[in-house]
Amino acid sequence: MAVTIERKADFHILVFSAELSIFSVRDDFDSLKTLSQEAVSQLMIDLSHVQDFDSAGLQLLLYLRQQLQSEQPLRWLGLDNPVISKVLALFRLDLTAMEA
Amino acid sequence: MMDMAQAEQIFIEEAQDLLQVMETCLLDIEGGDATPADHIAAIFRAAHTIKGSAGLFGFNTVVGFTHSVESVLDKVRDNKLQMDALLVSLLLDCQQHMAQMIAALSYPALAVNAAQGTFLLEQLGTYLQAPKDLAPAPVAAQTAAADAWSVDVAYGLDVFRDGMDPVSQLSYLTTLGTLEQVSLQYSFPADFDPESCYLHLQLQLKTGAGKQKIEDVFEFIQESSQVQIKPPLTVVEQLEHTPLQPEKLGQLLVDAGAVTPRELEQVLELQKQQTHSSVGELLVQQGAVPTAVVEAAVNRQAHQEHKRASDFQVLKVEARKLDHLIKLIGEMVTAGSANEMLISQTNNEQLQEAFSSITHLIEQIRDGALSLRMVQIGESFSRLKRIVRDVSRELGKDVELDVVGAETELDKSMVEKLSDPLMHIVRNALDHGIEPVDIRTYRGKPAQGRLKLSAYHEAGAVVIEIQDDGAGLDASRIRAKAEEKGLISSEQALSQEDIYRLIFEPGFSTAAQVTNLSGRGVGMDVVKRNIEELRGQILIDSELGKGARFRIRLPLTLAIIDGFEVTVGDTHLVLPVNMIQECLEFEHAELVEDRNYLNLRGDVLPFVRLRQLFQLPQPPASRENIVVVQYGRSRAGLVVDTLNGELQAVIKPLAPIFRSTHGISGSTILGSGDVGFILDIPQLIEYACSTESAR
Repeated sequence: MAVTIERKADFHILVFSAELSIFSVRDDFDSLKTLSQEAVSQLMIDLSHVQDFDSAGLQLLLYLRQQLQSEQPLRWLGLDNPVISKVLALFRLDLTAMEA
Repeated sequence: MMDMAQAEQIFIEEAQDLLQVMETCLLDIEGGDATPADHIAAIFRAAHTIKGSAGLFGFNTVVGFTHSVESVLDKVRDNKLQMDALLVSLLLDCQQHMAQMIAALSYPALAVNAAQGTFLLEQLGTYLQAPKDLAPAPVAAQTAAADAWSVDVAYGLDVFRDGMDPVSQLSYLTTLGTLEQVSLQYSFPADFDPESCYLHLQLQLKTGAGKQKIEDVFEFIQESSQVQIKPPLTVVEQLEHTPLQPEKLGQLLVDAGAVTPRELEQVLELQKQQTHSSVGELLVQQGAVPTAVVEAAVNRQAHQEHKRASDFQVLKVEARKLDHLIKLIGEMVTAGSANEMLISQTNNEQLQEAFSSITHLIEQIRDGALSLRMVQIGESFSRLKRIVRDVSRELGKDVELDVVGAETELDKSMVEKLSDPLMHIVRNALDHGIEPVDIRTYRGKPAQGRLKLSAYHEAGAVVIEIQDDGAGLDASRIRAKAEEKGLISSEQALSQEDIYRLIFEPGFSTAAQVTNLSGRGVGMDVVKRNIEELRGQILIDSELGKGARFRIRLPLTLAIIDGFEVTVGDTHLVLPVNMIQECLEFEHAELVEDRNYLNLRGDVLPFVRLRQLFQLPQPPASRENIVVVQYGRSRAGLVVDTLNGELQAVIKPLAPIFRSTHGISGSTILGSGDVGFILDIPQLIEYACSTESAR
């Protein structure tokens, strides 16, 4: 199942499913295209359900951060998910940091 | 205290050795067998040492000339000057001029061509005044850390689709060591495709693992991505501890774990297209190693060269002392055989066993002492390389020299005595054998002639072959010439081989045109005589229009042989074991009357009755034996009385009075104290074959 977009108050929450890998990134990416047609004021990315995470998944997150952070601040949920934190630690990455 | 004359002599000998090194290295570069980077250190060192030592003795002309050579070499060494074919040729001429100057120190009568010296200095001057500066070698962007491997992976677009995951690779690297300075870069295009990979990973890895192990992590993305793994500078230390082997730069780096065999292979492939670049330069260009590591390896190589030279020159022993040692060992072998015989008569097993270990040691000492005199034939071959180069240029012929088996060893004294015969045969092959380019093209042959020098061991002998793909020997012309010179009569029936052998007759020459190289008809007879003096044999194979091959067979040693003792009456005879094929009972009944050949399993075997040949008075024994011996491709039987078994025979030369005796090459003292005669097998075979065919 691909990423779902929940709308709560001012927030758009991108909830990634258990799979965030090469097997899902195409669907995830397609689902996220709809965002560009909406007015988004606050954006939250939820990774707490992710169970399979690979470099393709990481690349999609990096792409999203690059595309979206210029428009509005990003908030991250589930960065303490061991599946996610392990990969981020390996690459010495901090997703909450602003990109230069 | 050493006097000045002695010191000068040592300088001259050393300078000649160094000039030899210089020549070999330059010829290797010219022939494409090595790059300038491989040999520049050795060439420079040779010139530098000659200059320094010549200065000590006040040989100012040598110092002055060599200084210019050294300055040019220094520029090449510092990459300020490229060693191209022209420069190599100039340096070879300079080397020859230096050799002339050194030779003139020993023999002042030898004139040094001063005009040539001036010309060469002018040529060297052009390199010193107007240097052809090289563009600096491109330096890879990523520099190496002091103690960590630098890994740089620019992933290809299809990496994810191919099922590869950088996370797994990174995760695996953590099992090899500690990751430092990990940096993930990316650049996403406007038409971002989530299944394509846009990642670029850079990291430092501290690990004890070798490069191959790290490269294996990226094995499956080598095709789709760009992976650069650079060793830490600590590899320099490893380089210093790699065992000293005569290695090339690439191999040295592979052994130190700085380069993987795959990378080296890729660079060697690349070098085929970029022949002007050295392996080191290309490895840096490809980002396989940092410059500092290549420099360390080059220094290590230079150190190695230096070590190697001193290893080989560690001890100079006078030949006289060595000969004396070998003579003593010969006596020990003889005394040992006498003791062995006496001990075997005592029936004391303990004593026999104890003595057998002494016998074993004596054999080892004998082999060790003989090997002291053994040298590789490569040294002679490299001298021939120069001759081939110079002579083919002089004659305007294009000749490729192929050398095989340069590491084959033979007795030092033989190498010295072989030098002239080999040179003569090679000159003949270049002058008369290999045709000029236009004739070769007309005959449908490749324009470049081919000369092959090979050496190998074969059944207790060393074989040296000189083969060319030239015109071959023309039997009818040789015959006509021999008849004209009165060497043979027109009625005389001769086999093809016999006709070829006529070229070894004194005063024989068929060359229509006498050049200053060969063709004066003095030489081939001397060649044969020199080789026969070494108890050797020279054979000719030739095919008209296709080429000729000279095969020189020489015994392995000159001093001690493994022999087989036989008796005829009360005369003891010794045969070299390695020439014996088999021993059989001699059946009179099966013989053709009055003919000296028998049927050996369907083959005709000529034989010699040694009793008749040596005119021994005793009547034949009731049972006689025949020893089948082989030399080269011919074989014959020798009829003897009893077969006594193997022994070590110390060859003693025959007194001059017996020199004319055919069939005997030397004598030896047997364990019993009797004198044994060593049979000259090649001569006996020739005798057996020729007397039978003449009948």
